[in-house]
Amino acid sequence: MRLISCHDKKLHVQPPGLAPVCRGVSLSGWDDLIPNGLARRSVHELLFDRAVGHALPSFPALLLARGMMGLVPSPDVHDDDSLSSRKLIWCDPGYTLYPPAVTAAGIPLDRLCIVRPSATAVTWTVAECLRCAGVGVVVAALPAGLSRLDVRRLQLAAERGGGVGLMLRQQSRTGRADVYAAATRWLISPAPGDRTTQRWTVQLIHGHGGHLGQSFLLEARRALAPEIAAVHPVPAPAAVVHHASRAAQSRASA
Amino acid sequence: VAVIGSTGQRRHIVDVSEPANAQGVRPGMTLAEARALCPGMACLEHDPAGDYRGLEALGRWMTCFTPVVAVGWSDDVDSTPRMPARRKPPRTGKSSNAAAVPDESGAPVRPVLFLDITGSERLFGSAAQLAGRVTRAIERFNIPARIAIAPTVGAAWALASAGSKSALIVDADGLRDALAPLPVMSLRLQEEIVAALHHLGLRTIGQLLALPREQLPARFGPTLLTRLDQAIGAKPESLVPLSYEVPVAARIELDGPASSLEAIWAIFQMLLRQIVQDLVRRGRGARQLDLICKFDSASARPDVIKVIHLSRPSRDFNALFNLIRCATEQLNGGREGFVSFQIKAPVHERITEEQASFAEDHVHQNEVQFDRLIERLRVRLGQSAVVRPALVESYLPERAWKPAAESGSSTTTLTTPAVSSSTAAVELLTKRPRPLHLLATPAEVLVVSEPSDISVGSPRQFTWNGRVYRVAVVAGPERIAGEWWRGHCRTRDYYEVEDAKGLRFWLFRVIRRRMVPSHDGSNCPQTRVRWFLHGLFE
Repeated sequence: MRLISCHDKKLHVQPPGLAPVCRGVSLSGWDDLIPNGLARRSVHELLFDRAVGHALPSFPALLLARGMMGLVPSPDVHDDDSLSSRKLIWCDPGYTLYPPAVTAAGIPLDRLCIVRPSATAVTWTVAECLRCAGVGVVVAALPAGLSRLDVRRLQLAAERGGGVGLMLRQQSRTGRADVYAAATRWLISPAPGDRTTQRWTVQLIHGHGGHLGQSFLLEARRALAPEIAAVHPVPAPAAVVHHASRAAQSRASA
Repeated sequence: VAVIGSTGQRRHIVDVSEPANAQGVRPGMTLAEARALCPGMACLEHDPAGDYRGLEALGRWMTCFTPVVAVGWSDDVDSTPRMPARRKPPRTGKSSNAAAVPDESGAPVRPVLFLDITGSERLFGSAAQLAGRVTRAIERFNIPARIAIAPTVGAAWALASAGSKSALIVDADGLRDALAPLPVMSLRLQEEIVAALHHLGLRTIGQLLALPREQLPARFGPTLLTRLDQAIGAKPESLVPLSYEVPVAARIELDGPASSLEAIWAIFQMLLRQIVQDLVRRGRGARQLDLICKFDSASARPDVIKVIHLSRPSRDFNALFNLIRCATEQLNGGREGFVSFQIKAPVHERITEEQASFAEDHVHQNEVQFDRLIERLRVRLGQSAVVRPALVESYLPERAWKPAAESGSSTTTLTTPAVSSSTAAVELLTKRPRPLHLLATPAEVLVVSEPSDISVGSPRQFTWNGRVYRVAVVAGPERIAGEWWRGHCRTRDYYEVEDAKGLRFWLFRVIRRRMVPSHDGSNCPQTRVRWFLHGLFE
């Protein structure tokens, strides 16, 4: 315990100028709901409801990670984005992540590193990864029952390392507010799809400057390259397909 | 006994023992010929690398006679000497053959150890006494070997290879006389030159020495003259001694036991400082650190050994100590406590100063940081807990990737282009839906399919982990044939299904047809269908 506290003290002494930088993720759904952009140097939570089943919002997290790492082909890509040269770490204690699907979603495998901690070491591992300056995005399913110290430590680690943590957490069943220290929180639940499309509803629960409580529909289409995620605001069904599909077409023709 | 080597399909004898030799078995024969001559012959596989290791080990042992020991093979005639030569030191050439050489044109490779005994013969009384000691030692090892002491490397080799069993000692004055009757073969020449000399009727070194020097290079190339001069000492020859390296290690023995983590860390800090100093002095960085903590010998508890692998060589005290701290966090000295600590760096690599200056670069700095992170995670979570994936071209989904091989070199960063090279694999992937989560072993599920013919129907409902999922959407099937060349010959039909809530699954069906004996005695085909859940689209 003594060690943990001294560790934390060290983290509190932050050099100035480490304020979170907010940027869009080049995915219209997220960018619409948070006009200022998602904060770098911080932790974002993607909540899921265990009652629906096993559904971790892994694919939405992957899309977010791709957007943050500057891998979405778009005209307003940020070349100066500090995450564009960094790695994606996927915390996979269950040994189930399938890297070919990650490549298919547009993340080169040399940017991906899979970490398989034991169930008790997940929080330590995530904090360690976030603290590293070579890591751009950490995706991890956090265990239930985190303490205030744990979540704060993750946020501080992200501030120090400069990367982004995408934490997949179970929504608290009691309806009581969770302990969290994240910049934004999203509730992601599967939505009925069709033969060629898988859908999720993404709702913004917490986030400064965002449209709280609003949601959009995220689509992953099988017919095109699976990286294509179309986004529809809810309830309006108007199609907002963006640059990613054009890029995919140009790639296919090349 | 015969040692068998193989070139392509052909199996031939590399070397034979004396009893086999007496039966007429010669090196170069095929195995079948040898078997016909000597039916009871035992055969051993030829293992040149193993032989060399053995010879090197023997050479290291020989350093008890002299610090300069060189390992030589008689066929590396063109090896270039690296050490500056000293003129005319007496040397011991000691040819140790695992099996006796039948005749002068025989074994292509003759292992030999050279001991430079300049100065050290006085420690053993005289050169003769030293030779006697070496002989006795070799006999103890049960190695038939011949020993010769001569003023030059070439002469020692010639005398040992052609001479008798007893140790020959030749001084500088008797050198020419001793060499003269020896066959030209013993000058360490290539076979073509020996054949050419033989053709001209030149059998002995004495005959060669009698010839006019100027004509020799014109006919036989420069090697012959060089070897001749080296043998008689007119030209210097140097040995490349076995490098004996002091391992990078530091250890400390305590008077009393230490069990508290703070004390242990303080000790490791002290030891690591020595290691780092040693590494800086050698211009190297550690790739692996072994931490060894020993209990008091009275207690029977085994030593605690922690191994830290580093992805790039390092001699940075803080980084290394952080790793040591991670590795020893769980260390439990118990009530007895440890009495001895040791750090070893069994693997280390050259590290250059430009690597330090590279670090100015922002991207490179990130890479270094990332490698450090990987090291920390590996120390804490285990070597296999960190995986860098790479694609493999395979039709079977579970074989389509593997952990990438770690790049061992220090200069290259971990970004390997291997991924982008297998474009066909990527193309295959982007066309077909693949789940983000693939179960390590497919879980068998109960499926209700429609139409009811289970070998063609698509799933309507399935049960997994005691839960029933009603299928709302089905896409597929995608047929993936087994890779028969690997022994996976079952064809799988993959379906992407979605349940009423929108959860997506990847199911596959395997059909097994076989003939089973029916009650009337004839065989009738039976079809068995099994369904598995292979992945989750999450």
